[in-house]
Amino acid sequence: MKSKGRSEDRLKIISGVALAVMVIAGLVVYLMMGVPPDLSEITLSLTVVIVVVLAFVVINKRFKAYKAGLPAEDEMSKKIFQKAGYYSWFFAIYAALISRFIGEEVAERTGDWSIVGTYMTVAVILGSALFFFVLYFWFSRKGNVE
Amino acid sequence: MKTRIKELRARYNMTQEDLARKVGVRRETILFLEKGKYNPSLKLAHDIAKALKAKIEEIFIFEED
Repeated sequence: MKSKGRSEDRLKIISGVALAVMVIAGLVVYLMMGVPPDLSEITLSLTVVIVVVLAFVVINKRFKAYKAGLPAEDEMSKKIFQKAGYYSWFFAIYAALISRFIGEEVAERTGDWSIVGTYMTVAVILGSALFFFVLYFWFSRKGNVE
Repeated sequence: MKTRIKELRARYNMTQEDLARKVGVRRETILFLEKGKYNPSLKLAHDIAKALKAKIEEIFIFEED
């Protein structure tokens, strides 16, 4: 039972690292293959890097616990994840609604309609991911997840 | 909520990590429990009480508002 939990922890850590490396590799390939990135692409790319770095911090925390012979996840860390995920879900819904209006407003002012659509969708997803990690670290610091 | 985890842990010469390992949680969870910032599940409270050879109500003290 205990060794099953250990192997699950190991698998989660390895898959987390693999996913983060794949995201960074994908970003590098995307930036290298296309035309020189504009400001909006640089902003999104930077957000991706920040999200991956924050994910690495979480993975590292898990790895340290695993190395010390402790579970990588326990009831408190799961509650923190669930609470951060709960609020991020609401954030994503409202951000998706608001982004449509903001996107059109910015496009009208700048004359660049390419930001409406895909760009705003990516911005909402990345914004929600960023929001999730901010909440995760905040709740981890606070401890009280009731 | 107040807890006597730190006091009982010291009695048995146990570190936070030792207790965490005994009850199967991360060290941070023990830290927040000792500060009274985290309310554990009944299962975890039971496991901690067992590890510290005390009753649940002797370890976790709930104060009236």
